[in-house]
Formats: sequence, structure tokens, C-alpha cells
Amino acid sequence: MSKINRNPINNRVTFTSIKEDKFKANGIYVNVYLPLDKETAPLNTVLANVISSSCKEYPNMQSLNRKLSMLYGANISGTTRKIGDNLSIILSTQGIDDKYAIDEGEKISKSRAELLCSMIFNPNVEGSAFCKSDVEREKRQVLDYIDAMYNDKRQYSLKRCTEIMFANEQFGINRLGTKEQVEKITPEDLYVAWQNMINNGIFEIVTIGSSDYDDVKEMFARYLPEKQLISTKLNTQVISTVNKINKVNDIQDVSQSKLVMGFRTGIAEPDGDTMAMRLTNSILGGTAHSKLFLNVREKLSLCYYCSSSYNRLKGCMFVESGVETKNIEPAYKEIMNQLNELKNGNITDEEITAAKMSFINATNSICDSIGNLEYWYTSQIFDHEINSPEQAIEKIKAISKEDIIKSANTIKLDTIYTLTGKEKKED
Amino acid sequence: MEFTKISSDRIGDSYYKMLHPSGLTIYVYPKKSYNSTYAIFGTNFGSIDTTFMYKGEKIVVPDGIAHYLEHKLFESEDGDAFAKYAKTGAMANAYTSFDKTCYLFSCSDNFEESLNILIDFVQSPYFTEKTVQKEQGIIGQEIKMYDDNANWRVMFNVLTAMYHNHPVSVDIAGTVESIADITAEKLYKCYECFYNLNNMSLCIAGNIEPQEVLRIVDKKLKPSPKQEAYSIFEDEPYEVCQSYIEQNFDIAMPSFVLGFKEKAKQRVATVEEIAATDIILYSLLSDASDLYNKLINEGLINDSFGYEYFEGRGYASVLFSGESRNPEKVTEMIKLTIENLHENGISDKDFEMSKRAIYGKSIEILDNPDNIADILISFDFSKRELYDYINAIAKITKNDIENRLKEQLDVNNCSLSVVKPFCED
Repeated sequence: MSKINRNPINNRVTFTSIKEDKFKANGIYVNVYLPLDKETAPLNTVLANVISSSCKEYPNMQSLNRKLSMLYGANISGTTRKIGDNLSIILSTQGIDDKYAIDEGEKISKSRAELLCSMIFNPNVEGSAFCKSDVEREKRQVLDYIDAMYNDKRQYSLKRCTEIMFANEQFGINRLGTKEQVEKITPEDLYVAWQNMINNGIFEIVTIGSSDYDDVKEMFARYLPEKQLISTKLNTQVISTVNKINKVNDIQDVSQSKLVMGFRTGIAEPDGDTMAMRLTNSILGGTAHSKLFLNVREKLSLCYYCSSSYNRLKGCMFVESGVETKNIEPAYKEIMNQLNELKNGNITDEEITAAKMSFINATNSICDSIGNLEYWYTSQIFDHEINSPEQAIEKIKAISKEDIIKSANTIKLDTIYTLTGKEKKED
Repeated sequence: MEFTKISSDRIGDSYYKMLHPSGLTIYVYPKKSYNSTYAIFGTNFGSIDTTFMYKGEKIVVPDGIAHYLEHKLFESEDGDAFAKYAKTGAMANAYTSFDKTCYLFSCSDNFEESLNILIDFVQSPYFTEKTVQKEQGIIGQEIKMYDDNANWRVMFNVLTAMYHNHPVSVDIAGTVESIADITAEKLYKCYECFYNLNNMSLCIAGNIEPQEVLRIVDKKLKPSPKQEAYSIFEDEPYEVCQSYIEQNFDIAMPSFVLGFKEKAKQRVATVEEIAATDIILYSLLSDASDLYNKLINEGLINDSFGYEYFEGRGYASVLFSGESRNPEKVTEMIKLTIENLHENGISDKDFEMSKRAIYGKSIEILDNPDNIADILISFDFSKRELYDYINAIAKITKNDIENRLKEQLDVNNCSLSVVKPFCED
């Protein structure tokens, strides 16, 4: 088992080291948490891209990428992620351990750590602005990405349902922003966003692998002194009631229609029994032996996919499926029917055991991947406590059928989003 | 009957290989102190295998049958494999590609039970007209989902533009029309011809020892007769069919695939050839290359850009793909740089850099049991060994690269496939 050491450096910086000899690679992940805000979300997303593409020492993308290639194909990446009503900027590096270098004695891990630090704290800025060509290139990439979201109909439908359902909440904000917002971003704006990240962000730094990262810890401690944080309130609004069900249909030139249903449960971190809800979700539509898979797909042959997912920070759930337009109604009815089965307690012991075993299997496997381990810990920082995979398994084992029925009965339909093909107009 | 141990000092790992008396090739790659184990059981039979010889008879089956068979194999007479896995906690799946069909699971507990399920259901075909009929709706929706996926279509369009006769240009799942011709009888025929253990491989990586695997499978493997079926492919001309192909979708971002067709040999590529190609492509168009940086700084591509060496039985090509608002310009610049590469070769600096990067990435992959087992199985079907590939990277010379380059990336033999939004009018 890996040795995990989590210790706060000061009021806003926590350093977690996961010492694990079995991996051939190792990684450093810097997660900076900020409130999710309509104005700053696209700025932070472009910032993450710009920061990870150069630094003072390697002032253009190619020189940086050549350096990374020489470090045996090491990777450096920057992105943002929505976590409840907050945003995290993730800047990370990963690559092979020193002992696998072709040339003996090369200090690959240390070089990567220094590069990452240099990108975050000594970026390629002049005066109070980032390099204009870097900013323009990364703005365009985000603009392309916004357009590409429209290309992927499944992803697009989920995004639309989220926007509609949370139109009046922070959670409805897209981390990419709108095209108009991205277009307006200036190199000076990004400088302000960078300063805000350094001065007001809550930092969770995680290192994983066999390398000794004490020096990394010291480096970050030097750069990130204790600070009175002015504007960093990180919480998530959880709404459990539904007044009126939203129904929205979009029409596009597609051959398969999409159905996305958004539900509110009110069960969320840090106060709710989210473990029971995770199990409930798994029984409903989380596996290939779930109620939705077995009935909507296998029994009725209505679709190729029908699955559910639960967001434990926001307390919401989504059910997604791709069906013929004429089968939207039958699919919808069967999904609601299966949900009612859950609410009425029509759950077999086999279903509960299977869901638990599948959770245990997935959770045990977390420890076998650097990326999964990192996400396991950093995604829990807003939870009421941070559990190791072993602790989470013990908790899931203790959940009873009554807990599941209770959870199921909090699930309320909020939004029905459909994307249908053009022939519907002619019907 | 013993395992051969294959070790690498460089990597500090070993794996084990055996040709089991039943005909099955077995690979086991122990990963100490891992919690999970990943097993994959596959046959060297994929979507391209629609015309074959069996006992002197030429058999032609509908497009998409390998994929259909994959779906239906999950059902046995005594129930569905997913339902059985539900009792062990394993996460199970399957996939069909151009040249193989694989069934897999990963688990942290109950390995023996899960492996028994896998070996059993893949060896127990059970198809009736009724169960075959039921799948039409599910696979029909899978096909429609891909029909709407512009990134999927742009890939098949380039294959259509490049290949005259080879079935690699046909969609893996077939079409709604072609799968309507699939019957239980045809599924049984394909099964009999290709789900022969001599044509299959079992690869396991993770928290497991080879003797343990052997103890379990020994009881389960049914010896197979000699493998007699073999696919036949019409002769494929060297030249591409058309240099450009375009399709419109309800999308906002255009994308492209640019394919350079090469002469497919009588055999699939060796580890040395694969290693050389990896280095050529890295130096040409990785994010550290001159060309990539030029393209991205001029706004012609974005970080969705990628490339692959697309190679299998009877087909070989290099594919460059990504989103772009000006794929023609990207093509022009890529061709120009390739011409220059043929003329001047790779610089020492680029060679060294690419070699190190490819080497590092090939080591990093070994952290993941899923990746290991996937590579072992596809390498086995191509008669390659994993550590030979890694050693080939470490030992490669510039001379190897120059020789390889002679048979690749012919600028006069490429096709560009583009998907675009509908014109607004």
C-alpha cells in the first residue's frame, strides 16, 4: 500500500505526497481552487493553457516541448475543471523515473519539477502582460474547443441540459465561457488572472511516485507564503426542490436523437449521505447490470447507451440516452418507471451486492494509476472528510437497502432535454 | 508445458509466454503490489474478415458480422455474461476492431471466478433467431450514433478514398442494411472458423502469477482442431482511389484526416519498422517539431492534432488528423515538409530527441495493466514481442530511419478527408 502524507504548509497550501515504488512514472499535480465565476472562468481556462505552453526559461512552446522530449517524453499540461460551484486550475507534469533513463545519472524528475515551478511562478510575461502571440494562440484553441463541443452530440446534449437546469446557479456556468468572452481577453487580463490565482487561490499540491519530492515542497512553500485571502469563498449551493419541470427540445440535422434528464437530489457534500447516493446511482444506471441498462437497452432494445451519473458536490444526477425520435417517449417512461422501482424498494439483494462489488472493484483499482490516485484525493477536498480508497470501501459496505430507498426518494426530475433530428418537423 | 520467461533488465520486469496444448497462446505480465488484474481474451478476427476460405469453400459474410458476434457472444444458454460478472464485481467489456475481437475484464477480487466466466462464455456460443433479432435495435442505434459522429465519419471517409478493394474502408459495425442479413447460422459459421484457440490469445497483466493462470485455464480450455479458415483479400492497388473526399454535418468545427497510403507487405510490420516509424512521425509532427509549431502558431491546427501508423493485415498507412479551418493549407505544408524530409533526412538533434521521447513513453505505458495486456494481444497477433520493441527503440540508428523512410510517406499517394459544417444559405 502506498504511503500517504498530507500536510498543510500554511492557510492556503496543502502538500500531499503519495510515495509509491511500483510506478515507473511519477507526477506532480498543482490544483488551484477558485470560485466559479462567469467573468473569470474563460480567463482562467485560457490562463491554464498559456501557462503550460511556455515560461521565462523556455519562452516559446516549441522550446518547452523540445525540452520535455529530451526529458524522455515528459508531459506538462494545464487545464481547468469544474468542481461543484468552484473551478480548479490544474497544472501538472508527469514522466518516467530517473532510474529508467538511457543515460545513467540523469535527474529527470527534478528537472520536471523545476520546469513546472518555473511555468507557474515565472511565466513568460513582460511588464504586466503575457506574451501576445501565446495568448492569441490559446484563445483560438479555446474558441475551437467551444465549436468542437457542438460537434459531439452526446457531450453537447449534456452541456445543454446542465445550462438549462442551472441557468440561475453558478453551476450552470461553463468553464470555457462564451465565444464573445474569449475573443475579448487581452494579455493584460490574463496577467491579472494569473496574479489572482497566485494570491487568492487555494493550492493542493500532490506528488505521486517513488521520487523524493521534499525539495518540491520547499519550492512551493517559498513561492506561496501565507496570505489573508480576500475573495476566496469556496462553497456550492445545493437546491433540492423543483417547482416546475423544464422541457427543452433542440433540432439539428442528426440521425439519432438524444434524451438527457436532469434530477435534483439535495444530497451533496459536505453534509449529505453521498455514499448511499453513489450506490443508488450505480443500481439505477451506473453499470452494465444496472436497471437502466437491463431494461431500456437489453429488454426493450431502445438504445445502445442509457446510463446515469451523480455529482456528489452539486447533488444532481443525469440520465443520458441516444434513441430514435419515436422512441423518446417509451425510453422516458421506462427510465421513470425504473426510478420508481427504486423508490418503491423493488431492489434485490443481488442488485445491491453487485453494485457494492462493482464500487469496491473500481475503488481498489484507483491505487494502480497515478492519474486516478491524484483525482481521488483532489476531488475530495470539499467533502466532509478525505477518505482513502480503503476507508471509502468500508463505508460503502455499511450501506443498507433502507439507505438506498431513502436516497432514491430524494431524486426529483428537474429538466428534460431532447435533441432531435430534422424529420420531426415534418411529422 | 511451461511458460517461457521474457525479462528486461532495462525495465526491471518480466513477463511469461506459453503456447498451451489447446492451441491458445497465453501471456502473463505480473505487476507486483498492484491491486487489480486485467485480462483480455481475443481472436484474430475483425471487421475486415468478411471473405474467407474454409475447408475448400469460399465464404462471404455480411459487413459488421464480427462486431455483431461480439455483442451476441455475451449471451450464453445459461444467461448473460454481464449478469455473471455482476456476482464477481469485475468490470467487463468487449470491442471489435478492424483485425481483432477482444473480451476483457478488470478486477481486484475474485479473479478466478471472473476468468472462469470469460473463458466459458467466449467458448460457448449460443445464438437463436430470436436473440439475434433482439440485437438489431441496439446495434442499429450504435450505428446511428456513429453516423452522427463527424470525427468517426472523417476517418472512414479517408479509408474509402484510399482503398479500392480492401474491406478496411467498411465501417466496423456495418450498416443498418448489412446487419439485417445477419442470421444465427452465419454467426455460428464465423465462430467455427475464427474462434479457434489456435487463432486466439489470452493476455493477463496485474496482480497475478503465471502458474495461477495456468491452474485455472487448464480445466477450461477445450482443445481446438487445426486452424483452417483464412481470410482472402482482393489485390489492392498501390495508388489511392481519390485524393479528396468531403462530407457535411451539422457541426461547428471542421476536421480532417490526411492519409498516406503505402504498400502493404505480405506480412505486418516488424518491431524495428514500427520503432523507426514512431521516430519519423515524432520528429515530423510531434508538438516539439518545427512543422507542428508552425501550423499551430499560424492558427491552422489546434491541440486536437494527432497522428498514427495505421497498419494491419493487407493495409498500411500514416494518418494525420485534427480540427482545422483550412485543411488544404495544412496538407500542402505537411507535403512540403515530407518532401524536404525525403531529401535531407532527420537532423541529429531531432533524431536524438525523438528517440528519447518515444523511449520514455513506451516505458510509461507499462504502469498500466490495461495498456500492457492490450499491447501484448495486438503484438501477439502481429508476431511481435513487447520488450523487443522497447529494445528496438533504444538501439535504433539514423541509418534504420533513412531506410524506413524510403517506403513511407509518398506525397504522391495520399488522400485528404474533410468534414465541414453545412453551408448556410
